[in-house]
Amino acid sequence: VIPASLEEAVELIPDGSTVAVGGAWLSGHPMALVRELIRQGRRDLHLVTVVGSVAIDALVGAGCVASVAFSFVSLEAFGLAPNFRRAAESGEIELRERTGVGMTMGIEAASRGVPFLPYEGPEGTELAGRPDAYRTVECPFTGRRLTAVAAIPIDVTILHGARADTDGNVQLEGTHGPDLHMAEAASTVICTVEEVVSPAELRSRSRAPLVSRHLVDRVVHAPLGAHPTSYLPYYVTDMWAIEEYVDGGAADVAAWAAEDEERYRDRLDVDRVERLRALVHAVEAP
Amino acid sequence: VTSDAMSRDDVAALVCVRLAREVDDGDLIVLGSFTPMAYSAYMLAKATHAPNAFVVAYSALDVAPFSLSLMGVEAGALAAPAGRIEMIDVVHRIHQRGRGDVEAVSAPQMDGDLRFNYAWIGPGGDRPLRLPGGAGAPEVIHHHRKLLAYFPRHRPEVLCHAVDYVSATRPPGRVDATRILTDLAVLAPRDGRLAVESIHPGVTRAQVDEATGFPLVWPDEVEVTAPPSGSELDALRRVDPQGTLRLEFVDGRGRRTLLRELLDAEERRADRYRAAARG
Repeated sequence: VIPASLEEAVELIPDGSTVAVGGAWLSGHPMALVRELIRQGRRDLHLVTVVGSVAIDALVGAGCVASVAFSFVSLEAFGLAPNFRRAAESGEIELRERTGVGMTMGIEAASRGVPFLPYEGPEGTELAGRPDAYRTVECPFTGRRLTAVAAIPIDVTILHGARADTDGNVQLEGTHGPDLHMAEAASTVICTVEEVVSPAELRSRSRAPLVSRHLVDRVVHAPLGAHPTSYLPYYVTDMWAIEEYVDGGAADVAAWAAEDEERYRDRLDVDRVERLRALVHAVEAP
Repeated sequence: VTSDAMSRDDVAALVCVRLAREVDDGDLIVLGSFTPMAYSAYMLAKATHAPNAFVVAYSALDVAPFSLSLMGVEAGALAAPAGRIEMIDVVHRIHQRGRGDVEAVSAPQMDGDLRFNYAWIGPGGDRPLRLPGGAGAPEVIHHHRKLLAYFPRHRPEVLCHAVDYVSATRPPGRVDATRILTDLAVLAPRDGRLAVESIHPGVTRAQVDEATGFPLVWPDEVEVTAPPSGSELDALRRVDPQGTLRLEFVDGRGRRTLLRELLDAEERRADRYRAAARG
């Protein structure tokens, strides 16, 4: 593993790559890497997300995307993802839509190295009629008819984690969604982390979910690297920033991404970041 | 609309309380995407008659009850869980095994055959509006033992004649364990069709028929939905002190105004915590 800069790390993601984007909802997306892909002007990426939000919308808005495999892309309380919606409606991007389970099991199949996995699928729906994703199989033992869901091959998985050691082990916290299986499914794995620690420090917290060093190709130290999405227990989702994104950032994604991460972080008000950190702990019983 | 029609806030509270009553003690629930109405109902149930309801949220198993807020749900879920779970394990251990007991879902469209649309609004071939997609909803609707579908806007375009796209269906064997809660009425399946179980205070039969895109079965005597009790409303205020559940009941500009109000409330909540932490 090579500790790298964001610029060096995204060299492993050429135009046309299939890129799985970690995180889920408005939590734990690898936003520093997303911003770097936008800065570098990558094109024709094929994105994979289970429940996506601002990462997918920003990449689509910057013109980086050819297709999206997804079950959900939304800005949640702030409504439909504006760039995703526009590009989907105009046909600018190809949509490879599945159900939530169809997405997770497609990623799982790729992580296991099998071409499909069987399950009791979404019968009677139009999604189940997509032959690239779903077909019917008969169990060779019982004859039971099941839905086969196709594996989703992934070139590169990008993730944000809590901490990495200097050996390249990456521990996850917070809401890590399908991250572990995305990492196992991909040929190349790039992680940003909040902190870099010694191997001894990392091993003192060995109960945290691990993307182990045999999978990880590049690690980048990127504090607030999931912002404006959350990374607990460091900071909650910055809904103030999601509002700003909807009101302006989405229309000019290049400006929103800033010239580099230092400038992106400098733009954030110190009080704002302190509030995001405080809200991790300000939990009250009813 | 009659003179004793309820305010939107009162209707939101009524629907939430009615949803919470459908949660039995010990039920297993998986939180989905940001749906304050559903979250409030689960937490209300847990804070009142169903303390043993088992909630899975984000990467957290069996979350402890917490007060809801716009930016506090994930932190609340992850504050004191019994354990952690991977997304793929939620799929296998809960959804696929049919171990999910109840979930409250909404949808941009549902028709009388309990088909749900999360993908496209507009007729086939000419699809002007792209929706977010269903995430876990198609499997929840398919597999969960009880389905609670709620619709803050009971209109013929929403409870429609036929959905524009079929994202999810309820299998025949599980149809009966379904309740539809709207801002006008409670519906339940009866002999393969949807029947009116009750209408909310101040709502008329004509109003419900006009707002529904498919024919409804009406009982001889229509009950009025029991309004929330004083203690249920008190508990709801403790569970959702900022009133986030109102978000799903307001439209357009009203929604943005409410969001701003909730964002300001979060700023004050953070600053209160920072002041207390400084001692």
